[in-house]
Amino acid sequence: MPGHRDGEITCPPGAFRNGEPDEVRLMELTYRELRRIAAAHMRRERSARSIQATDLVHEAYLRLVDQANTAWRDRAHFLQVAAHVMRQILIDRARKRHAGKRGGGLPEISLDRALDIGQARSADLLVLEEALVRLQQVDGRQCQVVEMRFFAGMSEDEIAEVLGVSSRTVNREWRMARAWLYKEVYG
Amino acid sequence: MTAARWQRVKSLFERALDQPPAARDAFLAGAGESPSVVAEVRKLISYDVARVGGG
Repeated sequence: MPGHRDGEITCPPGAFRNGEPDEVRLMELTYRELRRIAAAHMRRERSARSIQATDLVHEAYLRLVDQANTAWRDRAHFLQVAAHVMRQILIDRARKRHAGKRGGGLPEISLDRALDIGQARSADLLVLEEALVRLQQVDGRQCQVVEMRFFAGMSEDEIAEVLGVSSRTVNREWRMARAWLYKEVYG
Repeated sequence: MTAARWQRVKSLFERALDQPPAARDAFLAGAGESPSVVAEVRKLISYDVARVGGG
């Protein structure tokens, strides 16, 4: 299966079976998936940012374990929620860093380099988040693609698998979302 | 942005991406869409091209 090549994902059989997965297994799985997402970031980014990625994984793990009542339908469902949680964490952090000093300047985020967000100015991330909320209202799937690609650092092939669409469709959705977000942010 | 307008922009953007870069201008001009939708798609394409290169 695409995305499983490196053998890091050894999804325990039955972990997502219709019933409730046993808790320990779920936690192991959660952690493993998040580690994999972090590893994807680390491949892309070097040195210092990998620490931020690990830190992000820990926080995402805590939040996801907190939602242990959620009945994960399958791995795809889990990854969608994980990506959303990562978005929330990064935006929450940006809000905290930025509390009380809003505005000024154009964002300097590159949407192609996930976890640039780790270093992006908090104001930039908040402007992006506002645009993303608007995107969510008109195109939920594109918003999901952005969450998975940008906030969770997943590849287009992985996203295609999660959403059950072709990689080409994901590529189209991503390019439209990226262009639209740039337009919203830069005008 | 209404959902209906979004769909028009999205559809035209995707069809324009299917064209070779050099043919996109003519395609958009002849697409029969409203000038404001065409203008928005041109803008989106300019951001897309800036990111991925010509095509």
